[in-house]
Amino acid sequence: MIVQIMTVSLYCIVTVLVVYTVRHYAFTMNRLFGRNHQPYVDIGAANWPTVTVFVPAHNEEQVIGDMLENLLAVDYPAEKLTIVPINDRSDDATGAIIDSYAARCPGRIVPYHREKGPGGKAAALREVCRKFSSDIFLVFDADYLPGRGLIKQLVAPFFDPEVGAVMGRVVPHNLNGILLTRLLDLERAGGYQVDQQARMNLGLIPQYGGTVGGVRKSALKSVGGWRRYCLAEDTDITMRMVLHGWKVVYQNRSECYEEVPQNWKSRIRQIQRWARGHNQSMFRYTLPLLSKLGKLPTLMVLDGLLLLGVFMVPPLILTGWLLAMALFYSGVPVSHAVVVILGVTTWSTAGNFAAFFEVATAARLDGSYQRVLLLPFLSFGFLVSLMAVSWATLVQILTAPCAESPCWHKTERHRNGNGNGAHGNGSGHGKSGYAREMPR
Amino acid sequence: MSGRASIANTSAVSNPLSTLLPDMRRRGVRGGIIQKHRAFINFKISPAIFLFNILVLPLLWVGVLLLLLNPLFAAWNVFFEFMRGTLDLPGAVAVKTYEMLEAVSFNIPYLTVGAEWPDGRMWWTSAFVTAALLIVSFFLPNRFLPLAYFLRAMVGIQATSLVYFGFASGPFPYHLPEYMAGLLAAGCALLVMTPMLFGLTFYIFNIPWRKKLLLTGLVLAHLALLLPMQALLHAYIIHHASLMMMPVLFFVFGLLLDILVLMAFYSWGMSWPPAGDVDHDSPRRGPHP
Repeated sequence: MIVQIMTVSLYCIVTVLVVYTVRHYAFTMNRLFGRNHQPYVDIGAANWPTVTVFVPAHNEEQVIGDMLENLLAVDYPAEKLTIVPINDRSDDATGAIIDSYAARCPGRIVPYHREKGPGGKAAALREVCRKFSSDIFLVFDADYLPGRGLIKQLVAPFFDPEVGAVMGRVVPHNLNGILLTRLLDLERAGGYQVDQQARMNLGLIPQYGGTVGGVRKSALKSVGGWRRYCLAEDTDITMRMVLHGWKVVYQNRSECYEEVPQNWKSRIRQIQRWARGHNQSMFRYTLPLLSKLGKLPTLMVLDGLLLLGVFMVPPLILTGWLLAMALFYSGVPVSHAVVVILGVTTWSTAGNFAAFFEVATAARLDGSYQRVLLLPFLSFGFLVSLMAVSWATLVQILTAPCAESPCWHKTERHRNGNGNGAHGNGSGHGKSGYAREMPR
Repeated sequence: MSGRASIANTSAVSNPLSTLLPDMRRRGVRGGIIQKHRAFINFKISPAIFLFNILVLPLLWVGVLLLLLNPLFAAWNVFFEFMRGTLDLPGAVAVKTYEMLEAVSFNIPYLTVGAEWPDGRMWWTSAFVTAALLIVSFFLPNRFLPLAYFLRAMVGIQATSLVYFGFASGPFPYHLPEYMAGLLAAGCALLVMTPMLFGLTFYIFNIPWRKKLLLTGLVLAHLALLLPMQALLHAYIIHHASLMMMPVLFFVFGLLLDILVLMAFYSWGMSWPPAGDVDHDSPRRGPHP
């Protein structure tokens, strides 16, 4: 009886994993051969709306200067652009750096210093957004380096009155000799160049990623604003936008450069944070999304459910492996055991193959063929992610699925310092040659 | 010549720009091709070529493979016979017949070498090595964290084996000969699946045909050599180190290893630049008009 239950469970897990494999494959084929849907990218001249760019920052002295320099150099009409760096109780030189820029560019840079209230990016955004009345809110993390034309590109979709949120493409720039950064570059390429664009092409749900993107103020208000205690305010706002009938748009052309983690510990912390936040949204929005069957396109709802469940896949894989091992020891007839275990390993192999196909395709579309040689090493990256996400999910399920964490969770910075996290030994001005040097 | 063609011909002659315009639209002020931004690139392929790449060619490979499988197994048979003597393994080379769709049968050779339930010495030796590997995994530098995780995963699997063989009583559900045959059968399934995988994920790109065929041939040849050696090595280790090694060898160094090899070849092939200048439908670089 137990063996039958284990076998059926294993087949169910393999079925779910096959669905995700087919999804990966379908997205890649669509990206390769389908019609690319980028309807807003040609907008060059317009009566541009007012925009506020928020840059939440907690102990970002190493990078905030570069960010502000790049924002000051954008070609968006200055009278319609307000830059609001949000200093959320930093105990390094972030506040001083922001104030120095504000003094240099009064009116253009309006600093906001938070001294009290719940911590965290979502809480900071929620508090600050109420104080600004622009039509559009864009959000960038402090370590990003926007190009000169990026603001216009991100704002262009909002000329479509149905668009509630927009997301650009994130490209790592700190590709030094560290294997991890190169693996993350490959993953990002697969996720944006193929996955997000395919979802845009197919009319599914491209995800607003919390940075290099923005929301329409009226749309944000209609969905209830940023959720104060939220680890993944990006997934949260994406789902609420969709549930309220707003479009979420992805712009593959709108590239912005970020700093990816340079050591495995930072990477594990980052992916565990994403997993916990994403799972929070899964617990919260699965049923509301299901209730939209019939009201929203069916494929959009189904893909939305798969999107919500994406961080449950690693624990599912791990469970599948454990079941396979249990069946192996339970004395299931050899042929059956081989079939069952073959199912799991075939998924893990062909399934991973679909993910690798997506990543390799992205690299070819980017025109950088040599980095595909790193593909086998992605297996190691996946192994680390599998364990990290599974552990985070297990702890989350056992403690409190929707418990929210009112504090900052940020990735270690390495630019302009020696990567000592919150208290880097940088110049204190956070400015380096990166400012305005990145390709547009 | 029809009247319409005559008029068109006359137009072209009178206005040569009309034939040059489509090309000139893609050129910059100094005549070079303006490449599409990577965000807009996609591929165009005719349905016939697409179907040929994704279905016809892989099926041709599969057909050839199915014809060559039994001769391949005969070669494996000779190899096992030779190595059984060289390694002084007991037993003989037997053949297990697998049938496909009740029409075709394949005779996979395997060794009838046995393996014992671990005795106390073997169990404690394995436990010691497993514990040592676990401790080592915690002392690796942070940049080797994926290797540490891999070691711990292996240790975890071996730990289940230690628990099983420590508390259960014989016989073990799986015998070494059947295990070896099963492993080879799974490997053969991968062998036959490889052209289909490549059809879906590799042939669709604008890579020279000779390279596509070369890569497929190389992978198949590599697997044809790897699979019997892998199975033999498993059998040798399990025979000498007891059935306790079967789980970790199967789960970690079985099909997963074969797939990593496949992945390495695939990534090599995908790193090859396209035939011509570009992979896609952007205008090609070429002489100025």
